Amino acid sequence: MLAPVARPEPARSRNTGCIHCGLPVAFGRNSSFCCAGCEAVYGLLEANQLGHYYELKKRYADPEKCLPSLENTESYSYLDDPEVRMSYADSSGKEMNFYLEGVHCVACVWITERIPTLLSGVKSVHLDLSKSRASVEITEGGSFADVALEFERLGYRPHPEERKQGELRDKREKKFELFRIAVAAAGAGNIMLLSIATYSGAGPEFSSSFRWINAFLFLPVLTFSAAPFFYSAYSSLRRRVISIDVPIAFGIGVGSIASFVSLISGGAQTYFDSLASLIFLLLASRYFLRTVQNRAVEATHLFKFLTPSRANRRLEDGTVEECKTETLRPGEIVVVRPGEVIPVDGEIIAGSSDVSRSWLTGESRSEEVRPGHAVSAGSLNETRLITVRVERVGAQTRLGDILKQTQVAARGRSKSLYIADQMARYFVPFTFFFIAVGVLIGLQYGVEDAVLRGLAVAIVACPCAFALAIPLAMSRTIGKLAQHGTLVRGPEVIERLSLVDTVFFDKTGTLTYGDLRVLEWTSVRKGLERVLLGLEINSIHPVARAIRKKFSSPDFIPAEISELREVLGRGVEGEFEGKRYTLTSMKGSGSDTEVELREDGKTVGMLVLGDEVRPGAKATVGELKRLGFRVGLLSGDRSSAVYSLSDRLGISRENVRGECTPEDKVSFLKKYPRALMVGDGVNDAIALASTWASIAVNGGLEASMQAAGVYTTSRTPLEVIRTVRAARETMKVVRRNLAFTILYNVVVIGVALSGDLSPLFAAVAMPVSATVVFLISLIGTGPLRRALSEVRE
Amino acid sequence: MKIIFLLVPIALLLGGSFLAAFLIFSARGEYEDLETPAHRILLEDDE
Repeated sequence: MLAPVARPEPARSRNTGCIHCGLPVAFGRNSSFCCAGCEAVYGLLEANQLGHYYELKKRYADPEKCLPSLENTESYSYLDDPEVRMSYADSSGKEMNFYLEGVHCVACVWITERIPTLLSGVKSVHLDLSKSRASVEITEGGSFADVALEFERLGYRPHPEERKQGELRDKREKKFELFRIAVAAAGAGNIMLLSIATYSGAGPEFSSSFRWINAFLFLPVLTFSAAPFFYSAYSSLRRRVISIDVPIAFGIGVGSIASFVSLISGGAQTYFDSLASLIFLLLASRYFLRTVQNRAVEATHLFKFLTPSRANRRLEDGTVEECKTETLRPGEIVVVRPGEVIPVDGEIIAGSSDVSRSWLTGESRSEEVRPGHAVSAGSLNETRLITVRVERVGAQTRLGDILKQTQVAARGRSKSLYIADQMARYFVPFTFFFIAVGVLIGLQYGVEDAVLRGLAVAIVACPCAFALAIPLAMSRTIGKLAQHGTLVRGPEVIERLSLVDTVFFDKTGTLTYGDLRVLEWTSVRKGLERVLLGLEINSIHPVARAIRKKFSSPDFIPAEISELREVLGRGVEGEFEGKRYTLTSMKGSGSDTEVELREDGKTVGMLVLGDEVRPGAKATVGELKRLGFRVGLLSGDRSSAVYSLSDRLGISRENVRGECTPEDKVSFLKKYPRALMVGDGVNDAIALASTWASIAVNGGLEASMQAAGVYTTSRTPLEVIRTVRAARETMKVVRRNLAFTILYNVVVIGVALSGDLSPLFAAVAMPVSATVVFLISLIGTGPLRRALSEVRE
Repeated sequence: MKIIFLLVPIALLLGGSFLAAFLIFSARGEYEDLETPAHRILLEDDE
């Protein structure tokens, strides 16, 4: 036998990984950490006697789920804005809930709940792992933004959860739901017990009193547990629509009345057992579906995330005052400091800086701006103070316009396609038709027979697939996907995903990391890294950030540079050990930036910076093509950069477009009626909202839910494949359930029409059919189980 | 077999008390978070 060919193992063993997050440490990096951020957190925790975290982590954490420390990927300052705080915090303004990405084990519980010892102003943090939710309570003067940044630093990306009006009522209603299920379960169980005694031949002296006991047990089930069905059927009839609750309420209502009438008149036609178990199963399947659904936020709220609610207005006499953004009027002057988000659309009248417009264009490089240039609300001012004359504010800005369009597009799509409600529309006429047939057949034998046959059909016809099996199958898939970090808004999204034939990716931030990173570094001798760090020690330019991220470690102490100064639009220069160093940006090839380090005019080092492609991007494209999808790439970045990436990933150029504005993306996607767009939750919001289906990979969680319906926290695009495959397979399970339900109804309605329907038959047929669809949904299919289980390559 | 008419109410009373217990504890939030306490038990030593 041949010896197996040795393959190089990926460097991923635990002892070589980063101490903080377990990620592999880049080759050549002389450190136990993957990045400077992780190292800083480690130092911080050790200094505060919180090193126990790493012991817990070693024992209990799943290294696949741990994330590295995140460095200022987002600004959370809006959380401390008094107006925004009102919609996130509770009424006292002291408590806020965060959805945390990546929390999964006891180490996460331990460290997040110890944030009060790290940060002053925090009273308590409580983590609920089942919901990935941290409840944070602060003291007077504490800052939610600081807590959010602390979560980020520890490697748990936080998403503040908005408090909806009426949330308290929802919570009470949810608790009530559990009560209803409990009452229905207790009722159904006890009724079944006594019924079985009757069916198996208990004498008439028992059976009559047992029927009365059953009726007594059934009353709370009917009036308390089944109330939501009647209420919802009534309200949907008032709106002149037929929802799935109409046939359910009709069946339960008719069955109950017939049973009570029969009971009082001394007959044996009581169906309390079948009805109670049906009510229990329906309530349970709904409860599961509701617990896994995810909320979306209105796009109008998005404007608050993306622009600051306070601005700095410069008055006629030159003094600067803080004011609310809405109070700004065209023609007024605002001052925007470095690191702040520009609150309005306007023109620069003084100062020059670098501005990142990535939300609007998807362009990965920031843009240099000078007096006379136009800037848009929502852009980030990166380097220097600028003064801007206001042209448009609020909803009139380009950002406001984009958000409005997103809202319109998302609303157009939310018209439900949900298969359960659609089937209900057919099921109702179908049932009534057979009731009529039953009555007509019965009329030959007299009026009483006609009524009984009609009732029999109404009671036994069961929309169990739509009412029970579909919610179950959907909630199982949505719940499992959530365990992998992919959050789905609801079942209608799964249906849409299952019909997709084309997948379009956004480039920046989706297939790539979306920030500038050092890709290559060549130098004539060692030690020049210290000079690089020294030169960029204070700059907040993106190039400087990338350099610090790459080289910061105990081995490289930044050189102490004298006469350090920035050369506008070119780079930095300074002196060290008698030599003059300059760091200058060159025009790079494609999307890359080249930076040259010169020593007394002689080139001694060269850096290539660019946006790094995410691992798994190529495998994802290959696998999607193998599965028969058309794959495309849409980006706002320059065409040369976009084509160079698409060629590398194997995406054919006819499906690739560069230099797209958000509107271009929308009109391009219109040509593909069954397209799936995978993009950033913020800068692709309109494209995501206006395609057939979409997955957001970045941006705020609740905002993405509105635009896309699916939000994934996964770092690899491979998750897209899992989601699409799981959706397809789930719909196969759904169709299997539909087929079974049709078969069931044909058989039992046939029996009911023949006039031989006994309570025993109903008591067996209804729970058995419900159990069958329950099992079909729970077991699913092999491909579905494989799609939902771990498939990371 | 008359004993049935004593046993059935007793059974129902038992069942009812379990139901009541469930309702009381779920109202107290005992079933809100079914996952974290299982992990939290690993943290005996400190606090």
